[in-house]
Amino acid sequence: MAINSSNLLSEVILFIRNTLRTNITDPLSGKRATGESFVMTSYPRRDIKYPVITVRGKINGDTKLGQQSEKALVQLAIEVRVWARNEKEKNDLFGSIYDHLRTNQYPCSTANTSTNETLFDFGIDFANDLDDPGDEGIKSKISQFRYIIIAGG
Amino acid sequence: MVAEVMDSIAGRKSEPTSVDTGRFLNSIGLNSDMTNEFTAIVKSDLNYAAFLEKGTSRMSARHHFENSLDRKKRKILRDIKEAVK
Repeated sequence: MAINSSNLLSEVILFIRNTLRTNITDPLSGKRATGESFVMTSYPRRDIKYPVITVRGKINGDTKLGQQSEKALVQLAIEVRVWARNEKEKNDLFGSIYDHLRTNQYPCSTANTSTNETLFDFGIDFANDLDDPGDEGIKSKISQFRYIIIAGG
Repeated sequence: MVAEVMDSIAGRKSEPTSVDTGRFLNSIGLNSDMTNEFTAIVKSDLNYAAFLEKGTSRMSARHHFENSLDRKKRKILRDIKEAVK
């Protein structure tokens, strides 16, 4: 399935959310209330059970593919943030996320790989810790991954 | 870029205002220890600046620096290209 250019960013974010939701093991699997998610596209306003993962994305720029072309090579930045109860859980979840995204690029002919979704050139820009204040604060790691996609391709 | 971030913090851009006492707004500065003429670091030394920028479990992210850089990125690249001509 290829990402539809008319909803490019939202479809990419939903693909990343869904692939993480399916492939990353929730430490609270079976213990969450109905309707409570492990991987989300925005930080929830209601009370939640940690750990959770949030996914957001933005477009970092584009390059026109030829003088008279309406197609463009679009650079995407996907922020995946882990919110966890302790350091180990935070780092384990981040490791699983990076490993899954890194090893789920090929082959193009297989459904749900990133190249099958026309997302190319995967890489990681950074993964930084930003824990909430205090010893009991929620532990958080912010990572940014990059892809390119051909809009109109 | 410093002015862009300060405008963002003051609520003159699309981000929510982050001014209460003005301490954060007045902390925005340019790193004086630049290694070369093409390096500039816009920063705040306050320990809670990162929480305002990226958010916490109890507070939404405000992205003053990130959004300001995105808005100014093309101009910065254009200025660098001009400078190396």
